[in-house]
Amino acid sequence: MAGAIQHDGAARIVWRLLAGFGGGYALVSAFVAASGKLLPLIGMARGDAVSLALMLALLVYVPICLLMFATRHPVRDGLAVLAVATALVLLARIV
Amino acid sequence: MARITPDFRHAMHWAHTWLGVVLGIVMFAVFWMGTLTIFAPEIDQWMIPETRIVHDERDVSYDHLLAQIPPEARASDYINFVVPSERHPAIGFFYQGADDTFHDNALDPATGQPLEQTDSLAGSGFFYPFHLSLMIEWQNLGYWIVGLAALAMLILLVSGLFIHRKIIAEFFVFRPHRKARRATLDLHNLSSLIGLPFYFLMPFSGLLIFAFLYLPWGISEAFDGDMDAAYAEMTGDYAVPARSGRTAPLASVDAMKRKAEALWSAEEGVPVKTNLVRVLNHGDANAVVYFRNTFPDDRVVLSEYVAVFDGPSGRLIRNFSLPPIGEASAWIQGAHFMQFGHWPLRWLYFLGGLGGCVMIATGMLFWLRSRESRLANASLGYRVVEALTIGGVSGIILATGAFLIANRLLPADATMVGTGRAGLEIRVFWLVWLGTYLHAAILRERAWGQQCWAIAAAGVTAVMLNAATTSNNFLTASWSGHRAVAIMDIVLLAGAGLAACTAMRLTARTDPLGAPAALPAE
Repeated sequence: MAGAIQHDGAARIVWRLLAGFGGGYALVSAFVAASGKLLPLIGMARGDAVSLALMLALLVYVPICLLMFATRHPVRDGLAVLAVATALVLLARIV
Repeated sequence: MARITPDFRHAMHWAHTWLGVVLGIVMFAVFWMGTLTIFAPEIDQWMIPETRIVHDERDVSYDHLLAQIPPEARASDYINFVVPSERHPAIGFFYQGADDTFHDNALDPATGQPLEQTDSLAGSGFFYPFHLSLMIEWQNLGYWIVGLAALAMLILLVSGLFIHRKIIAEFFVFRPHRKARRATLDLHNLSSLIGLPFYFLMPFSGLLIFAFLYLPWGISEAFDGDMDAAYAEMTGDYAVPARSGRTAPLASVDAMKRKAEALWSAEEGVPVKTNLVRVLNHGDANAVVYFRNTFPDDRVVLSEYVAVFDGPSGRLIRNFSLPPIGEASAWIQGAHFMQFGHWPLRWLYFLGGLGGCVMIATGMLFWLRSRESRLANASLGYRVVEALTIGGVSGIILATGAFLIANRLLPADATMVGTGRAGLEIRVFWLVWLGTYLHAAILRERAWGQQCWAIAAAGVTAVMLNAATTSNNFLTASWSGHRAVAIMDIVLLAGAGLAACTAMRLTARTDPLGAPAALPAE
């Protein structure tokens, strides 16, 4: 079926990998930073907030990678991953 | 309700196949070395016979030890003692020399004197770091490769669950006498499902252990860029002041240790022992003494408590205990380290590790079997994957056997081109491993059987060399209280037997091309 990874050319596969592993890494890193900044605002200790975010990070990272393998719209979804990562970075910086 | 579409299943199959092919060798190496690491202290005793000490529950005086360690160590900024235990009967002793090099010794718990030990990195110094970093230290590259492989393993496990339509039914199907391709897939499915929670736990907890390395920006950003503050709040690290230049005698370390353990025991409600005693800036007015219960014997959780004392006065300056979520994280990490005292579970971990090796190896093997008839004679890529699979599976096991044999054969003062004895053992490992890849590239399918025969021979040879070069063989070792040595020999013999059986089956196999019409994972 058009758009599926098994019919992709090399460039789209490389994009999927970069967006999944690289974009996912950026998103997870930003997720930890933002959680470490936001959760203390509701009373959680900062160390605990980061510990919790680290434990949840893989539950975020693995599905992102799977999404980038599975999606029929890798460009759109890859850009969405990067956009969320950027938003989280900004959030962590602003708070 | 959302359904799993064929399209999604194909995508998962694609990810499962290619991540497995590209990173399978790394995953196998990490799982193999991680499996050996479960028994690293016992392997240490086998490879460093001078540390074969029968443990007793004597109290070690660290005041006495500090008085008798070499002057260079006493002048060190960093002196570290690892408290002896049943699995580590010698006292671990590390210090940082004046030239910043770390010195690693073992002390006799009865006398406090350094043990004249065989120069070997053994299990704790080679197998353990190999499974973390593949011994590639440059820019922490090895840690990143292993981290990527761990992430890939989690993706493989999840994608594997989506590929199989009848996963529960497949768990109960193993047909070893069917065609090789079918039997390989059955074994892959069986080994995958039987240890599935364990296979999730290991990469997940491994990545969590190295979170500070893998996500430094995310962690430090939460602490406004101050990584030291992050370490202090999350792990109990204490920022030690620099030496003042003013000399001051150290208060009793034994008294501080008792105080730390009393504090922790009161907090926990059960006796809590310290595992690590660290003296920083010894002899200086800014000396600090640091205690940590890194590996509790009776709990899974890791490094629950840290107590830091002012050295000259013996005053408590920091008492850290893990906060609730930090404790949950430390529990997951402790489940990976498996240092708690539970022998049946330790053996289950070992079996789980071997099961993981089988899962990874059969996955790679199935990739080869599925393409054998089409590509075996035509594709360079196929031949490369074939050689990498053989060298990566049977080759690393054979190299491990060669490492053990080199440990027993190399003279005590062996050196070559500036490499000491411990380094030479590792060179033997790498050379034999490299040789197995070349062997596989040349002999192809036949290399499996020959390497299995070599593994069997290596196992038996290692046991014989242990008996010949030390005072223990597997019979006398168990009678004299050296259970670790006896079990290590028995495991080597069992492994040799298994390798010989496998070699016989592989040598006898005449029909390498089994090709049923349709397989569920295709």
